[in-house]
Amino acid sequence: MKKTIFLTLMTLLVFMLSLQAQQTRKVSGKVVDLKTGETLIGVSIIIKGSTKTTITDYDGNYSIEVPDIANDTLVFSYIGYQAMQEPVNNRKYITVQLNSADQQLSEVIIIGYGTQKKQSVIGSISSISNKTLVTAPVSNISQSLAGKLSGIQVVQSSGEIGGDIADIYVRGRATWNNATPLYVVDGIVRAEFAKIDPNEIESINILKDASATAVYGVKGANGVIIITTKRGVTGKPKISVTAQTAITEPINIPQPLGAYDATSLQYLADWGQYRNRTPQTKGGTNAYDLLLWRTGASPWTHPDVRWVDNVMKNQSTQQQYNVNISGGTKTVRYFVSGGYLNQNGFYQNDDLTKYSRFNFRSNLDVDVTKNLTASLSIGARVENLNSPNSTIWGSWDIYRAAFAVTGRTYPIYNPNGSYAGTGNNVVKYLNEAAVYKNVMSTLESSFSLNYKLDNITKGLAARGQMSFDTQGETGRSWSKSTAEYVYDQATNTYQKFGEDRPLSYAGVAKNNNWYKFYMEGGLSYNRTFGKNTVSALLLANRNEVIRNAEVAFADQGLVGRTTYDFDQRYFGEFNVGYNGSENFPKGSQYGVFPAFAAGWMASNEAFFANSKLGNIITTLKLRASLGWVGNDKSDSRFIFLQEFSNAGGYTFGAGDNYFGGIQQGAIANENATWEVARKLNLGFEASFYKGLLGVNFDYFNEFRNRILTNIDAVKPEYVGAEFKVANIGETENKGFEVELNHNLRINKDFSYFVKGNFTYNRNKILKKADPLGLLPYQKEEGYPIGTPLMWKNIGYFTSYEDIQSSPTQIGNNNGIPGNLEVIPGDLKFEDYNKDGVINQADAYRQGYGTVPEMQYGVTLGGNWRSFDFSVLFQGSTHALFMKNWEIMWAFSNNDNVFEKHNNYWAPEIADQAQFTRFYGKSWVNNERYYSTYEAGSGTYLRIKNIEFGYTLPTVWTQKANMSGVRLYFSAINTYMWAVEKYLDPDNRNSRGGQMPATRAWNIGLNVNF
Amino acid sequence: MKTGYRFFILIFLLVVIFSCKKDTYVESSVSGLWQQVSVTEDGTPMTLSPEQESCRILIEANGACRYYNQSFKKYNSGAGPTVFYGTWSMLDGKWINFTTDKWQFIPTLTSDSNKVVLTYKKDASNKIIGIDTLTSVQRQWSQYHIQSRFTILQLTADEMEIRLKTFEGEKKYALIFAPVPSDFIELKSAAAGKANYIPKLVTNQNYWTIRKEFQTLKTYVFKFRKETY
Repeated sequence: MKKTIFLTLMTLLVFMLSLQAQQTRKVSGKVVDLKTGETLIGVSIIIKGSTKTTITDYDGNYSIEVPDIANDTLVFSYIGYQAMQEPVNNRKYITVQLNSADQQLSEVIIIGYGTQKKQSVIGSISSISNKTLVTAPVSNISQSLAGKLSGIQVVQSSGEIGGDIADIYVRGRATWNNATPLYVVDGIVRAEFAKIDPNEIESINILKDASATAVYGVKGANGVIIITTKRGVTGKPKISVTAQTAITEPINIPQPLGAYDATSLQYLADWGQYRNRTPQTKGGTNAYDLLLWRTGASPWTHPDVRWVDNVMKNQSTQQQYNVNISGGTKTVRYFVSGGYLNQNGFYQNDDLTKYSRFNFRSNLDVDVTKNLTASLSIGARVENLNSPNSTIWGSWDIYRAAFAVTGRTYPIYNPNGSYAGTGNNVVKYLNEAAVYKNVMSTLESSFSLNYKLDNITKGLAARGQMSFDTQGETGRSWSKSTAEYVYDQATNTYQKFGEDRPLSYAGVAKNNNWYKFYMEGGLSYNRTFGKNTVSALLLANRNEVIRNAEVAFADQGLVGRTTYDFDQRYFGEFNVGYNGSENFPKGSQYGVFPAFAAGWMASNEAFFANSKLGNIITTLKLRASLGWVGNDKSDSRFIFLQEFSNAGGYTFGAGDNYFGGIQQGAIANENATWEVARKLNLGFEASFYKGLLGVNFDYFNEFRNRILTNIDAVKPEYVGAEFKVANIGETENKGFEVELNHNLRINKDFSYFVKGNFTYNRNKILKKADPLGLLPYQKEEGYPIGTPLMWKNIGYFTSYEDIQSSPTQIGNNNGIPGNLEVIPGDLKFEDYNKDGVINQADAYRQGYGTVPEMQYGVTLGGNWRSFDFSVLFQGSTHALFMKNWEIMWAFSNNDNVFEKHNNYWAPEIADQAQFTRFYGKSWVNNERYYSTYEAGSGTYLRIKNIEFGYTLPTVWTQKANMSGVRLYFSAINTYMWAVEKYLDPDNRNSRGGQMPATRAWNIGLNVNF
Repeated sequence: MKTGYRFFILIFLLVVIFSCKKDTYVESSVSGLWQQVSVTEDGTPMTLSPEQESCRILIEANGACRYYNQSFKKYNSGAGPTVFYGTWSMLDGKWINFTTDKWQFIPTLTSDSNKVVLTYKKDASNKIIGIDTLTSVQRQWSQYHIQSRFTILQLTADEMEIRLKTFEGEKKYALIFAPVPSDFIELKSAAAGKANYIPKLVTNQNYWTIRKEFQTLKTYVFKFRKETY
């Protein structure tokens, strides 16, 4: 019995022990955002080494049966967050804080030729993650950056499909030569970045000071924009599908006045008082004509054609799709993405106005051995553009014509259906236009190897990279000609203008190809010794670009960097680029561009952390840098070579004894070299109340010299030859940037954030080739680049008494040459030199250049349960552009007028006038003088982006094996307050001839598996 | 709750404030037959001649308007035209434009004596026998049909009051809305036998006076009363 009892007990014990060993225990918990404390819905939780998985519910809670609670590890992963592993260690309840990708990004910053921990970065760098880029309904990323980053100015001067890349300036411009920043995509200098699918991008970093850009040496003076594409991470495959479709609208298309109003104004302009004219009984005008225009009773003789309405669409569409997959094993990681963009333009001919782009990217990383990693990156895109043949080089011929050509001369069609007119029928331009088809293919590829040399010394690594990029562009055009006819209603006859020629192939209008080879090799070192951390980089590179049949563009050099960090408190950095460019003479091709930086993390000091200040200021880092960088971009090549060209010839004697001659071109500059920018940067980064408020501030001061400058204006008059540009220009560029961010979680359902940035810079020309004898206030020296020389308009003359008591403008009185009369309603100018006469000596440099001195953005956003929203206000000021011809003057080229002309000056409405007098207006008058009256303001504030999103509950999505589904609505350029009323304030075409930027309303769906 | 209440009050006030804007008028109120009942010049009532008092304007919805103008009837033995045509349009609901015939002042002066250039009639022996008034005046004045912009001061179903600030000559030698007969003379084209209604002959005596009229700003307020027809 005892034995039986014993055996029974032993059996139970063994059973219990085995039960204990194999017992699965339920582990539950919650997953929250590390920074905001917000619960995360749909976080994937997997037991490491098994297939058992679950996801968090609406409140961020989860529970999972864990087979081995002592040894199992839970892996938490979530889109946009850094994956995290958490050993169970016999716990029943585990709360996990996930670090968002933003935070991850903020911890490691991409810098020139490498990465750096954010805490140790002491250069001036702005960063943005892809989360804020992917949902904006834009055709290229350059349009998304305005207002989101400090230190850059973005101006989108055209909305033409396929040609709507915005101009980007880093800290404004400090040169009158090419001020475009350097674009670096995945470590390789590339011509552009804007057409990369936003879904492929991991981050964009703006390197602003010399410390950050010195490694790019002779190409780093204009700042550097680094684009880093996504790469795979070890884990199960993640598939992301995004689809969005938008309705787009052109904004600010000038609308000409109708025929009646226009003709009324034209009568006024033609036959007003005091116009120098021959007398006649009646000026060929009468009420009957006006009435016919007003009523449309005689469309053949008195038409009222609104070309804009007949040529342009009010709305169009745009679609974007992307599928990408990423993941990896222990040794291989991959990211593959395919995207498609389709844009329909705004002409009322769909076949002639569409743009599409296919994007593909494959980034592959393979750990070949424990120490060797190989990476292959391929980015490719194919762009197709269809446009009217006449708009190969821009939207001028049709878009501009639509608002510039008068609609009161001929109808669109004659009674017999033929096109009416003498060659200016804009509908015919479009309907009968032959197509232009442009195909552009781009391949960007690179292969790199990284080898850890820990066997030599810990932290040492060797790296090598090769890149081959190529782009081919072929534009084929077709031509067609269609005659127009003028219909004579009285005789019912037609007069033909132009020829009818059938559609025929016109040949290749564009054929551009380039190839780019790049290679680099070097060593890097990164090691921590106790409290000391050092890193170093030494790298050599060579770059060669072959464009069409041109001589190759080439540069090569060495890159060096050393950093030192003591106890995360004191930081030092030295960067240097030693570069050479083929654009300069031998012996002067190479230059050294060094930069020094120092930083102090004050908040890591014990005295600081223990002080009362430490309770308020959570982190505080002070940093300073000084360095020299260059700019080798020049409009002309081989400035140092003397050029000769054909110069006709002469026939000697009889017969064919012709001898050709040559002539000397512009005299070479044998000492040509690059621009040099000396950049000083002082800044601090601080966070208050444990991250509740963050502040970044930078002050910068740049001195740039040796700027290549046209010296023709200062050469002696007796010298007949022309000279090539010389390195004589000097500028300074000062300013500051501020970034503020605040976020707060109010309760478990609601959190919000506010982000703001402000950038201000002002440059000044210190030295340029101003002609001798120029008045001091008319020289470019002393003023910002591009500051116009013009009169200051101080209103209108209100009466003859006003004219008598004001400084005279009459040319015969030493006033403005050619000005024969001034009457009330004419422009009044400031007598700048107070000599009682308005003449050329009163024009002075004033206003601003075309690059805004100030740009800013404020983003407000938040989350409420499964809903998220954000709105970006973006503004710009201290910029102007000049307006003239059809967009400014009445009845100028193509004979149109606009709403502002209808508000012409007349004594009755003098205080509300938007345009000068009309009556008595002679065609040579002071409205067309270069003055502030013709300056368009670049000041605006717009609601740049709005976005609302809704994430579906995980209980729904998990049934379909989806890890997350988000529906969203977004819009861009939603609303604007601008000083300039008639044109987009980013317009930079003085005749308004470029299609304006686009407003878009977008809905999208993002599904993750 | 209290916060929400305040919020709605604030929104309400903002709506009220932004709703307040200057009165504007609608085009449909303008159509009709209007009689000119008074004119002021710089605030002083002008004495209307019988011809001016009889002035009517028929404003039609299609943009046409007819000026029934008795000023010209007295010429040509009472056979002068009494109806002139023009067009009208409104701008922003605040202004009204009328297109009318205007005579512009363009006499030339001899460069040496600063005297008005006149054309003379000559006999067979080329001897000057007098001033060729018709030809002279035709070279001194040009007639055009152009727009004047008035501010609408009042526009009801029965009354219309509009204001025009302009140069004295611009109003005086135009069909706004009935000129003073004494400012015009009758000239007959001998060939066509057709009457021309053109302002007075400009001479050395009145040249500067008339020129001054085209440089003197004055404000006119015209009041009309609607009539049935």
